[in-house]
Order: sequence, then structure tokens, then C-alpha cells
Amino acid sequence: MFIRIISLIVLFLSYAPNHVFGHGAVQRASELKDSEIRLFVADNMNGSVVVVDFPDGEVTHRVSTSPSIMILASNKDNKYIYAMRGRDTDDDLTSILSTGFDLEEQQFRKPHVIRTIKTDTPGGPRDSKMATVGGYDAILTEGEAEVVVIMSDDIDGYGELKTKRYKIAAPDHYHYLEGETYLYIGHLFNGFVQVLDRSTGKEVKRINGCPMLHGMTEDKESGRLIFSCARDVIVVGTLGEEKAELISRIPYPENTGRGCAAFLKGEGRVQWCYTEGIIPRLYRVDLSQEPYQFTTLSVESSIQQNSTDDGKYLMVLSKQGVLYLYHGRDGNLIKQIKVSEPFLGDWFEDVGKAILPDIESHKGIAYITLTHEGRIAEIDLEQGKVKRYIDIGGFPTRIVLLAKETLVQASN
Amino acid sequence: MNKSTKILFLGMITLFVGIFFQPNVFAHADHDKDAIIIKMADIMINLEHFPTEDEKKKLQSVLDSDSSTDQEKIIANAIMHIQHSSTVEDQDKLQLIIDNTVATSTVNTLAKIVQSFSHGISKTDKRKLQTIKFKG
Repeated sequence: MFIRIISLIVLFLSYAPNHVFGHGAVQRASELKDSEIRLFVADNMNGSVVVVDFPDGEVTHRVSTSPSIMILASNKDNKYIYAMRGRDTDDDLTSILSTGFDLEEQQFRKPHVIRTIKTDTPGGPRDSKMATVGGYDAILTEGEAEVVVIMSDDIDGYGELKTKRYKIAAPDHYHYLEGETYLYIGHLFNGFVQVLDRSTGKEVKRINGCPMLHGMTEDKESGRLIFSCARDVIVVGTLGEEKAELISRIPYPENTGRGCAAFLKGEGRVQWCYTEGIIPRLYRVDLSQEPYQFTTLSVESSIQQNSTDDGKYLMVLSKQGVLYLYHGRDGNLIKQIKVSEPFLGDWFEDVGKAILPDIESHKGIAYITLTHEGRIAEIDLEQGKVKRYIDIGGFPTRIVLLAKETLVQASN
Repeated sequence: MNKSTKILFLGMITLFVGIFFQPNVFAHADHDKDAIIIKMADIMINLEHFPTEDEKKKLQSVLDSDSSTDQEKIIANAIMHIQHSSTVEDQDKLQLIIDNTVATSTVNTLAKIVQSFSHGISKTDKRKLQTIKFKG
């Protein structure tokens, strides 16, 4: 009996330590990554946001979001990325992701989805930045005709998301910018700019006579907003006596039936605008010279365009897969860089989901999503050559670029 | 029909025709992507040696549809007859499509893939088909 008891005790003692130490201390591994650039790329094969860190060029994370991303945008202080769904669904969702930037450590961590919220046909961002109202992020719901302002600085956590809502004139496709005290909301199909008082939410006025309003920009120097209409663009003031007043109209250089679809900031106060669809033409306007007038720049049939962050270069990606670099002020051709195989067939992007490639740049390096090849090209613009390709797989489209130095500067 | 009704009627017709031919009106419409080409691309992506009965039914629906173009019907017919590769007769018909369409068009791309099919889909062709399916 004694031997049996001793055997049991020995067996117990030899077995127990495994359990005792099973939840003991382990070495903590840091997830911090000291990257200079973090790219967020919408992959519309399955609706995920792919994160690529540079200078490594490593695909570090894939964050699953709702499929059919139409818009990818960062918020005002680059803490969050908003991924908004397109309309090829009956479930309109917006996913909000953390960028993963750790302010304390000034390095990047793993990004993740913080919230997914229901928004009826979401829109509002411009140039990959969220719309704002009084410094808060805002989503314009094109179905419900509302500006939904997210009144919380911190979206993380389980607390209720506080919102403030402004009623817009009518359901439509909007082009929005915030002025000094007013909100300016361009309506595409209704063809007017509605001006709302930010403090009361009441309509101040409507600026009519802008059919098929599509695309807008601002001239920071004068505070004027430019909305493109079917046959011309309208210039609307936002400051002083000009506030909410129609300043002038700029006719397009030729009556092509196609207006500006979006604007690109060039060097100085030059703005470039391109027409919707694959059209071999760009319009140029120098907002430092009044009366304003457009001139035309002939370009190869292009599938995507952008300007560099400093406005030095105008970048035009042709359907043949060649990146044309034009001078950001005068439009002179500087160089061309072969970046991909041609984009075969029609590439017509409707409101279902993003399908077009995107171009972003920082300090002379451009990043282009080659949707048809499932990869990103990293291009040295000064040297005029492709540095490397980063395989993403799927169908990479929209890009949001975050530069660490910008994040650090903003936090100081 | 009195004069004012006639004027109203003619005005409505003119307005309708005018709006219809404005390209910008369609700029934000939910465009009907090329559903038939996408359907055939979807079949080709996973095709091994020959189409299944289910795939043949889908192809027959393309042949029976009034909305299918002649070129789409030729391609559907060629896929239906694939036995490890397309028939010589179908290859000739596909060549006509290839010769008479823009080299970068989706119809041209699909015709080339069907024409050169051999037992299965190559990685390159699979990517092209996935792209057709993705963008329409």
C-alpha cells in the first residue's frame, strides 16, 4: 500500500509542473515596425485592405473589410482609414481601420478594423482625405441625403459613436468642401451647390446653374472653391464678402460635352483637371491669373492621373502602361517610364466598386497600383525608372499613403 | 390632338432624345457590365479538358439569348465543342473575331484564349480571365 501511495505521489509530482508552468511568463515580442511609408491598398478581389511598408516593400498585413471598396480615405489626423463600399451590394457599410501608428513610440503597429458602420451610399472624401465638419470626420450619405459628422475624437472602443447630422437638399452624388463657416455641397444631378450654415445646419442659399456637377477643388490662397459643371466651371467664394457668392464662370476650351471630373494640384496655383473616362486631354487653369481661363494639354489615352505631393510633376498613366511625367506648371513633357503591360479592354469604373489603378507619391517616389497585374510599381521619378514591383495578388486599386515624417510632425 | 398638346409632346420627345445622347447622364449610372462575356470568362477560368453539363447549359443560354451578339455566340459555341482543345472549324471562326476586333478588347482576348485552349488554362490566361470577370 505504502509503495502504491509513494508511486502516486511521484507520478503526480512529475506530472504537475507541466501544468504549473503552462501559463508562465513568456518573452514579449514587439510588433513595432520602423517604416518610413505605409501604404493602404484596397484589393477589390475580395475586399481587403493590404498594408505595405517601405522602405522594405513588404506586405505586412491584410485587413479584411467588406467587399467592393469604392473609397479609401484617411481622416484629418491620419489616425484612421475609412473603407467605404460601392453600390454593387444592398448592404452599405463603411469600415474604419486604425492606421497602426503608435504616437508614443513613433512607429507602426498592426492595423485593424475598429468599427464597421452602416451608411446609406457613403461618400464625401476628396483626394483620399475624409470630409470634415468643424474638424470632425464626416460621411455624406447619398441615399439618405445627410452629412453624418462623427463627433468623437477616438473611434476605438465599444462606446456609442456620437454623431451630428445635417440634412442635405436631396439624395444625389455630392462634391463637398468645408469653408470658413459654411458647408458647400455640390449636387451632381440636381446641378446646384447647396450652402449650409455649419453652426445651425440651416440652408443659407443655393447656387444654381451647374448641371452635371462633378469634381471640385479649392484655391487655398483665395479661399475660392471651383465646381465643374457640364459646360463650364463655377468659382464660388468662401471668405469675407465673397462668402457663398458666385465669383465667375470659366468655360471649357472647347465644347466637348465632357467637363472636368476631378482636379489635380500642380505647381504654384496651377490646377489640372481631367475629364471622366479615358480621354486624351487635360485642362489647365492658373488661379493666380484673372480672368481665369482654361487651356488644353493633349495626352495619351490615360487611365489614371495625379500630381506629385509638391505639384512638381503631373503624372499620367496611359492605357499602354506608360507613365508620362509632365511639368506641374506648364505641362511640358519631361519623361516617360514603361511601368506595365497594357490595360486590355474597357476600364470603365462605375459606382459599383473601384477598379482603376491609383497613383500616389512622396518625395520623388511614386507608387502605382497595377490592377491588371496584381502588383504595385515603385517608381523613382527623378531617375525615371521602376525601382521594383511588389506583388499584392488580387486586384489592387485605391491607395492611401501615410508618411511617418508627416505623422510625426502632426503629433508634435 | 390640339396644338398645345402637340407642342408638349414634341418637347418631351426632344428633351428625352437630348438627355439620352448626353454622355454625362450615364457617367454615374450603374452600368450593365458585359454580362455574357463575364459568364463565358467564368466558365473558362476553371475549364479542364471539356465543359461540364452544367457549363454547357450556361453556354446554351448564351446561344439562345437574343441579347447575345454573333461574336459571343461563336465563342460560346466554340467553348461548348471543346474536347481538350477547340475544333479546327471553331478556331477558324475565332480567328475571324480576332482579326476583326481591337486587339485590346475583351471579346478579342476571350476569343484568343478559347482558340489556344489546350487541356487547361495557363496561369497568364487565368489572370486575363479573372481581370475580365473583375472589371467587366
